Amino acid sequence: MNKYGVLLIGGRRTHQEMYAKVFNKHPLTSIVGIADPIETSSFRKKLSKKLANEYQVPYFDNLNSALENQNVQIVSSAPEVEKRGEVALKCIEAGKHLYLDKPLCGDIEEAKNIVIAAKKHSVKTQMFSMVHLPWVKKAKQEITKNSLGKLKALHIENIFSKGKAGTVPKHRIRKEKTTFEKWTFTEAKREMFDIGVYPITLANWLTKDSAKSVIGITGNYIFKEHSDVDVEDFGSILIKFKSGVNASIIGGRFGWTSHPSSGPQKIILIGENSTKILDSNNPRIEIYNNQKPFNPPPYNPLDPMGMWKETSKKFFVEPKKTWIPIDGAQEIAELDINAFIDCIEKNKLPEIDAQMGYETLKSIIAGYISASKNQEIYLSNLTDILKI
Amino acid sequence: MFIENLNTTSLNSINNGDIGIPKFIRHTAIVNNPENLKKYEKIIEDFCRSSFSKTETQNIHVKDESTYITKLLKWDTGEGALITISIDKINLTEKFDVLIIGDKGSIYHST
Repeated sequence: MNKYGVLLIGGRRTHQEMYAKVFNKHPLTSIVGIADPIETSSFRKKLSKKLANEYQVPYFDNLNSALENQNVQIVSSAPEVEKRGEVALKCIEAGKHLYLDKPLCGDIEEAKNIVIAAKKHSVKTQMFSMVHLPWVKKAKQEITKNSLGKLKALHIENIFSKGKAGTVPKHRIRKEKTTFEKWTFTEAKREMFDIGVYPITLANWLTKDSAKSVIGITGNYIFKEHSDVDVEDFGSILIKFKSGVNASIIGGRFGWTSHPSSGPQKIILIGENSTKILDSNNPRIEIYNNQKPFNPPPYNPLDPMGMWKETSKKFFVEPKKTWIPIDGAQEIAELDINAFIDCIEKNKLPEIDAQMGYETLKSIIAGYISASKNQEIYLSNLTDILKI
Repeated sequence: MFIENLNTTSLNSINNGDIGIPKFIRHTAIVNNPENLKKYEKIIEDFCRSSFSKTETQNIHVKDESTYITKLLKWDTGEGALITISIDKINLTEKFDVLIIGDKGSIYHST
């Protein structure tokens, strides 16, 4: 066994699919098992067992007993959002370093408790993010070099191009809610939460600042699946930071054929002297040829948004081949997990730890409340607003 | 002016039904002259109103007088727009970066 034993929580149809691949490959880590909290649904347990079989490691249907294993030094945690707070606390209290799927969890108090517990037990925490991608690091370098002058504002967008567009009922106007009972659905996710977490985390990281207030908007623009379960497929938030810097973000999902690649991912930095646009898809080559154009997969009732790796040939998603970034493929999970292991090895603070995850969650939740109430929400009042 | 041609071409495409029903616009303009900050703000706002065929119900802004203005517009029928105009004092070139999202497709422009 390698230096660090890794216990995975969650299985197929979660981000654990890609995290497992990296922990299995890393020279300092070995996967020692896969576990779920005991109350996990049989559907989810089955998916975890599938992943366990794939890596030929034992499956534990009781997380508590799996955490007693002294060969486990790191937990990679990707349970359902509703269970994340409780699961993270258990892992931290067991003294394990914790790699956390994003978003941290769905509840502000639970997020705060994760932060407090991680400090108390001196374990490393890192939430999955985009900060280690080369094109994102360039944005950080521009700010550090001060090449645009003092940073005044920034815009960050991340939209996933997956799912069948144009299915939302005509004239659908959804009223945003201020309550957050359920985050996990089979057919859809809350996209400002699930994808918006990337640009908001980046805005916090790039500015090294904390949000003071937010103004949010959510929409049901594209998909019937989101409309049916009363969640948004798109969100935009204006963030006013304490330093006076302002950020705008977009997070959401649109159709398979609405973008020539995986979707727009951009950072726009506005300095006092100049503005710079960084684009994950630029520089690139573009290919037009006599091959068949991208053809979206048929409707998959278990994964209509194409969120997970599909093993069934029927629903296999062909790669899009028109735009090829010249920086080459960037394995986001590999870069992120390598950085986490490096932080454990060198006793460094991860760039995006639980505290950063907590800060991001506050802005997302405040964004929903703002969208619902049509007003600016101050984060200092967030706990009181949630109690009402 | 380039921005007017860009907006007209985009609006024609929207009116042709190329992207279905327009839902959200992210329009970023980088200008080389402080006078164009206000001027382009109005041009882009009008473009958004034309795209959604109505006037917004909320218009929120954040700005730094000499550098940029960002506006978030909301319509009571659910549409939204995020507009940013900034001044580039170094490169002195005009640039536009636009994303228009419809329920069936999208329009992009990057100068």
